[in-house]
Amino acid sequence: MSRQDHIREFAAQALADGRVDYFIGWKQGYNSSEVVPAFVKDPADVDQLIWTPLCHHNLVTFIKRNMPDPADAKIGLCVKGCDSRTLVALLQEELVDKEKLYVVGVPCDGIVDRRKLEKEFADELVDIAFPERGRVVVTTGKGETREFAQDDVLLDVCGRCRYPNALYADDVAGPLEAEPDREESGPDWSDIADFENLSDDEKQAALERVYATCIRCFACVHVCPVCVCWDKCVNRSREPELVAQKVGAKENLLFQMIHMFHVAGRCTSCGACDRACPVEIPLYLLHRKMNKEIYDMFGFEPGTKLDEKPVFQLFDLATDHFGD
Amino acid sequence: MADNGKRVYTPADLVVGASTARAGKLGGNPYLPEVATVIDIIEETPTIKTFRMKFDDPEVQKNFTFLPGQVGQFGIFGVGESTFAISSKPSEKEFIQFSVMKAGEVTKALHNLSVGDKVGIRAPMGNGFPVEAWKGKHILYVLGGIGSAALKATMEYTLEHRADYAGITILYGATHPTNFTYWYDVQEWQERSDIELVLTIDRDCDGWQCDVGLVPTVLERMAPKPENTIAITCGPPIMIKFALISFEKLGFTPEQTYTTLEKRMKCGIGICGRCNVGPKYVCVDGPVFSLAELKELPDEL
Amino acid sequence: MAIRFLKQDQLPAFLGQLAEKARVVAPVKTDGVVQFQPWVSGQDVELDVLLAKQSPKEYVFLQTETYLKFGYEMVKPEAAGGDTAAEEADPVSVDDAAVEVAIPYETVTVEPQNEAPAQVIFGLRPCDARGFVQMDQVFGGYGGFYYDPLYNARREATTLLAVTCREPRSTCFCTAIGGGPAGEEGVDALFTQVDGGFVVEALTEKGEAALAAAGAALTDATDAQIAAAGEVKTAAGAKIDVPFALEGIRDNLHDNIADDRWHDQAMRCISCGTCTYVCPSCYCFSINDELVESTGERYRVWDNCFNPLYTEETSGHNPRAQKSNRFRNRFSHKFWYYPDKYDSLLCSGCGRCIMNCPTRIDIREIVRVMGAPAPAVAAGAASEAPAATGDAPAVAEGKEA
Repeated sequence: MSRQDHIREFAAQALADGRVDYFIGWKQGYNSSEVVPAFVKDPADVDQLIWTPLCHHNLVTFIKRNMPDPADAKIGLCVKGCDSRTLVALLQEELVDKEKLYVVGVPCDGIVDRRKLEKEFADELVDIAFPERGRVVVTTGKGETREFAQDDVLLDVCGRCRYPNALYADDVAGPLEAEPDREESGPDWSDIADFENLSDDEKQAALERVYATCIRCFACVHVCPVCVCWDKCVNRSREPELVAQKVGAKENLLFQMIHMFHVAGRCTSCGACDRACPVEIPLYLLHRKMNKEIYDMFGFEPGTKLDEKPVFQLFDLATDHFGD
Repeated sequence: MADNGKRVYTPADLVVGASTARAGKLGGNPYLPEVATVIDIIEETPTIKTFRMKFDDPEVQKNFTFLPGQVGQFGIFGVGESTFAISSKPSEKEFIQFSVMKAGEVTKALHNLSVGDKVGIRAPMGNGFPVEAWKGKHILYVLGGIGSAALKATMEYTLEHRADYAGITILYGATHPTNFTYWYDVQEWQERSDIELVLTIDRDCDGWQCDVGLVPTVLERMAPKPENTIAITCGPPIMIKFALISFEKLGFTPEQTYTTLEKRMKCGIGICGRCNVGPKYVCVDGPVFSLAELKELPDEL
Repeated sequence: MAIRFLKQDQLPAFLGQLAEKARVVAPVKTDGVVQFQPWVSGQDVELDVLLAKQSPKEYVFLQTETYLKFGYEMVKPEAAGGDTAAEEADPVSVDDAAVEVAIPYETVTVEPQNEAPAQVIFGLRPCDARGFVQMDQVFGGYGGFYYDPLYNARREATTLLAVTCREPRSTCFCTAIGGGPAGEEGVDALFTQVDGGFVVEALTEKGEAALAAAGAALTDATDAQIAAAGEVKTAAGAKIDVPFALEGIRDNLHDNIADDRWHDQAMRCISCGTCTYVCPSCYCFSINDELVESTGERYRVWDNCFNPLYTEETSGHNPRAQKSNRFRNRFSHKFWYYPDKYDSLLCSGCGRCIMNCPTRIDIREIVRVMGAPAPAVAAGAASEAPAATGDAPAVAEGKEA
């Protein structure tokens, strides 16, 4: 039985039992090169649910505050290993109610970066097929077909994955993927080594350049599963006005810096912001750098242990100390 | 573009440097406020102040006219603008007046104004009440709290032209006697025999001589007759909601019931897009709507 | 006006000649992302990747546009005698009518800003040009509304040189909205790629003027080239799907305003503003002030109806508090509210919102579902909603194209 069959079975069961009002998984988008989040209410519709290496959306986004509709809905959802860490982060902060959730863990061996494939062609992609594990076959609008090795076109975050299996789930869609030895090796921060080697002035210049093209659509903020402020977001507030609503390299950088600080110790490097950005800004840069600082300082990996508190909730004013 | 009979404005219609106050809808730069100076500030209630301004350009002041119920953008350069009903008498030639309740960023800054300070005004905007069409009718005003500001100009207009109207009834409610705006005028109205004035407060307190009870409750007790009457209400959203229900109970049709809406606005000229309720922009299609018109709109009030 | 020909290798020379008289804006690829940018000599214009991420609307309707600058100043009037020492020395003498005290007063100087340098946008597509035409009605005072001097000054100073879409994408639906891959509405001159270069047609006086200004790079087109361009246009038009019919959409959106299916459609929306910021015709904005010490500015900046703060009032009340309300507003604005005011549609079928939405929400599907009569789910419901009776068309139920 494939993982996809497991997902459909779990979803159908949970809907039929009334355990959930709707179930969130993935389905095909406007063509077979695209996957989008699927919201299934009727057990008869579970056949639209799919599991392929294109299922990149972190569905935890859709259970954060103000997303469930109705607000008190009982929700079932699929989580990959990375997604489950953001779920754990929300549970740690009591920002979602465990009792209203039904979670299906989906062991994952890597998600394909559609944008890497897009860059290979001037034409649009109309089909991405996976004839067998490890092979990716891409077809364009004009009918051109090319094959890629899956490992060559994975999301960058997948290459550094330490948690291929969900850390929190009620059911698991098939056998677990092999886990790396996390005791043996720490997180891989090689992706930000180049940035870290820059001088302060060069860093400033690099960041201003990176964010110069930001259009302030707030996709990165809204898609971020741990970003829950909505209308109270200081990046949009006029009272106090920390960031001018003007769009410009300086203002954009400040906006992203605030976002980074606000999710510091909560960001799990799931990469949802990166993939949502319509102008393809490498948003991971700042977040990864902050995550590394937090790991080096506190040995803290956000969203990995349910009984842990986020590092910045442990700060004790009286002792001026972060927990133990 | 103009095949449906609507007029299309072209750059030729532009009067460079003219403002909305000067040129109205046609031409000018509708984003450019007229600079005005605060000449008087009246503390109406603990949270409401009335500001009287004179336009710095005497020509603008001399030619400034507006319809009762119209609004304006009133603000401070460096803070921003907000929409307020013009609460001066339409016949007032010496100044323009807005009453402001302290709430957000702009209104807090407005409350810090002193006489002599410079402000920016874009006015008039919006549709106003069809007071001409109402001649010969009985006008029933039902207002609460800051809602009086939105109806002040209209009340003043109909009182000035009292002979044109069959009758005028004002039901005015506040949470507490200290929360009546324009108390000085209310006392004058009490002296007049040609209007019916009912004042009410939510809960009784020492020294209060008039009615006690929520506005809709008092309204139903008064039981005004709907024949040849126009009912107008403005106040806190919850009061408006129940007043409209009371009007319906009393037999007022949606066509003879009016209110004036408040929305978050920016441009005030039907372009920026945020004050829409369905296909209507409150800033240009309103703020005055009959209940019949409101019933056609989506539930986004 | 004669039909001209621009050889492929003459494109840089053509743009260079235009750049002598006006700013040239063109689609350029940077770090793999195609966006409209001020073109500088030597830069490659990217015409193979269909559709820059954003339409070029930001060159006419600026994302951030300062329209007022102001400065406060305290003015000390010339007092009778002009002796400032006297006023400070003895405050008691204020009461003395003989001494006039000069009290400083505040003044504010307000300067409207409206710069509109001449510019040529090259390489936009017919759908992008139609986006301008749709915005023109809003900012141009059509239907008795206000005339916006900021937008119009730039619009007047802008020439649109569009390129026919030879290879439309599967997300294109311009023909359903009444346009086409070689649409001429709003286009000043149309460039159609054929073997060896572009067949160039001036469609307006502005377009003719631009071509005349860069005439040295152009030759007269041959009959064969003109015929080839015609074939390209016809072939391109045939490639575009028509996902819905326009008839009835406005009325059906009106009838479906309280329909529960809006909630289902909005489920995967994350309420960001991407669709509106890549859209060639979304035009909503906000206005803000900045003040540093005694000088400041008032500027307008793009805003969008998905922003949770967009309609939130000071009291905290929000008429569109729910994501589904905000979602409904965008589509209703495009296919109902705007048509009510301007007798046209606020969509040109470019499909950018589909391609760039983080969850690929498909406007075609929304219009197909919500712009169709509500399905008669029960006899009771049908009798309440007469529009839903009769021949309810086959509605694509949540299925992607």
